[in-house]
Amino acid sequence: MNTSADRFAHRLAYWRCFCLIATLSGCVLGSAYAATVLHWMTLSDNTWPANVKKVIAAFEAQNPDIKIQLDTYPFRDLFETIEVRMKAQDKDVDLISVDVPLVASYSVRGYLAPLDAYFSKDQIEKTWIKASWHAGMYNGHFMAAPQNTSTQFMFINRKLFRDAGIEPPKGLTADQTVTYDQVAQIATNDRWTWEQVVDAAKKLTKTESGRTEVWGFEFDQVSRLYQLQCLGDSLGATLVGPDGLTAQGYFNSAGWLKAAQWYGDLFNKWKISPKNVTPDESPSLFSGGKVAIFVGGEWNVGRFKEAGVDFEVAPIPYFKEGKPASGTGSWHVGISKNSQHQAEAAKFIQFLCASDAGATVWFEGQGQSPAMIALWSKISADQKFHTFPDDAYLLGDYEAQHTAVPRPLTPAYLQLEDIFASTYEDIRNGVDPKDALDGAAQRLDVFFAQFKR
Amino acid sequence: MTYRRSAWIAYLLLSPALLCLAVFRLWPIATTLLGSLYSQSIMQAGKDVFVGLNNYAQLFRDPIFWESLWVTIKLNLVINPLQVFIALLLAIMANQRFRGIGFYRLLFFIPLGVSVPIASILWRIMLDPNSGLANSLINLIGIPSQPFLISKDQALWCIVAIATWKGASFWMIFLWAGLQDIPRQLYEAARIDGAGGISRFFRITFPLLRRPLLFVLITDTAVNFLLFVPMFLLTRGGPSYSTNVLMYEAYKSGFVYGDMGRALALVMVLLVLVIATVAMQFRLFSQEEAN
Repeated sequence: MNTSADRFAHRLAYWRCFCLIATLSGCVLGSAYAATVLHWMTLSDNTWPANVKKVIAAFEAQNPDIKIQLDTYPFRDLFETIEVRMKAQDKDVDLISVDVPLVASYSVRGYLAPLDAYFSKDQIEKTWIKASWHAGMYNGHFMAAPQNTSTQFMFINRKLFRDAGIEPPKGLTADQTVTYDQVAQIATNDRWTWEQVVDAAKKLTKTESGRTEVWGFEFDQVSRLYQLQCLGDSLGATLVGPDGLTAQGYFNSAGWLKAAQWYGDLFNKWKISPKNVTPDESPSLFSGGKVAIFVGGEWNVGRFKEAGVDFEVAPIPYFKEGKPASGTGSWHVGISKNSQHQAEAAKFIQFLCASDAGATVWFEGQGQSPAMIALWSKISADQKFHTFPDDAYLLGDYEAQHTAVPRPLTPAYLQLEDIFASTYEDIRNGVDPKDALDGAAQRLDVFFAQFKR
Repeated sequence: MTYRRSAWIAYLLLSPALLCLAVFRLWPIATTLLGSLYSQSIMQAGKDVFVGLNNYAQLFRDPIFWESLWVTIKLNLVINPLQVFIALLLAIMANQRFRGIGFYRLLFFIPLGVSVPIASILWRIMLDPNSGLANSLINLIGIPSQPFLISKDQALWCIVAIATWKGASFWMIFLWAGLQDIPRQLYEAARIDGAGGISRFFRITFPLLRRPLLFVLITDTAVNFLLFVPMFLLTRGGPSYSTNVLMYEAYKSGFVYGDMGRALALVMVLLVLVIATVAMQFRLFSQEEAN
């Protein structure tokens, strides 16, 4: 006869068996469906992470066995963290956002795994515009795939121009429809020179009791190489020699000296641009009506539209004695050499950068100029891109084909970019441009010498 | 208990502290020294190769290094005596007893509650040459606007001021504790003997405060040689390398340029500099004590 204690012991035994079976089944099922988790080191600035997550959601819906986890950092910190984690051979990094001029630097130091096994030469050439895929190559290997490219525009605050009684340059404005040919005509015949910009900015700068209330002109990424390279390019000057490792005679050439003098005069002689404003702060000066002419990237179009600014988009200016030149190149994605999941990481890159589905989600979210040929064809055919402000992409297309100049190809780009920024920041703060450029060229050659050994 | 046995017990009791010292202090120094003898080879896909003293040789040929060394020395020559002097002054004031002293003590302590990054950002806003509070205030008394952090002649001294604002109240605590240890009877006896305030300070306060002062001076020196956050957040070593101290240059070499060999060589130079300065301070104080 069973006692109540025996019955309790039996029940406990059954319960234990059930728990054991349930746990084992959970483990077996769990291991069978465990997704591969990829870690992507990328940007945390502005709308970037939110738009990246949209692409990830679309990818994960198609590939439930792969999950993407973001490790996001602000623009400057991203480069530093990449250095630290790649030097430490961190196996938890699978995907890396690569600023395009750093492809050579990361490749030469063994940070990136080649993508040749995942992208055929034919696919590469047919998928992306030449300038973009070419920038992702190093020593004949495809090291990073283009996520998007970029272009530069001149933004005009129409209200401030009206208030000052100045006729703005011919550009793309609200309530008009344009064709690519009309955009090309504006870019060819109506592009302002930097000299015209200064003349207008002097009239637009408003000072009240010693304080400047409205600045005539401002650059987006103040003192950064990406932003200012167009000045030297317009005068036919290059920053480094053909070997990518000579600064003397290039960084301080006559062309760059003229460009640097002009840049310094904006702040110190003509006083039409504000000092002590960081690249993070400068777009808000334009959207807040404190700057009348703003030269910056195409990603600002959406920002200014959202802020309700009455603006127009015009082609980037050039020096009267030179030729038009615009900045280009943007973010690529590469696979870490230490990644344990390179095939899965390549699958994600295929989706993000080379598939119609992924690249479209990214373009519609982030709004940066696409690197994919198929997307450019879509843009040309879609009527939406013939009205303001989306017609700016037609201007971007024109600039990419006619005026875009990539950044210098050098394994010492990190040093070049840092010294460029500190030099032009000094010039902005009143240091004599010749002294600043000569000193910087000398410093750069010391760093470059290490790469020649 | 024999001397030998008691010595062993002392070593045994000290061993956890010695182990921590070895693991957290000596081991990192040894690996830094070793790392400074290696350099990344571009020809071998970034592999670290042994280069002996080459990183040091290159450093000593590099004008940026000498410029940074000079900025570091210049900063420390001013900031250390200034911080200790202000901390001592604040400690003496905080040590007074009168109605309302609590309010002044609170004022002295306020900078302690603000972290260095937040203090740097607050001062950046106040020293903004376009719309900062500092320029508005000096304009009121007829002084023209100053460039502050964007001037190569003023930036370093602005950083000295910010670091002193933050640091002096911290060092004040140690000196104030030292002041409270001095018996009040000594002052009373001196007063009865007719000693004035200055005489009491130099004959009682200063000699009896020697040990806390030595501690503050040495620790403050070590901290200021490694001062980095204001340069990182406010000036990035500029304008014209005027705030490019060795610590910032080491950070830039290691984490911005990816040249860890150069960065570690810079850190070793900095370590030698700190040890030499601290040893000199020790020697000066012990000589004075012996006299």
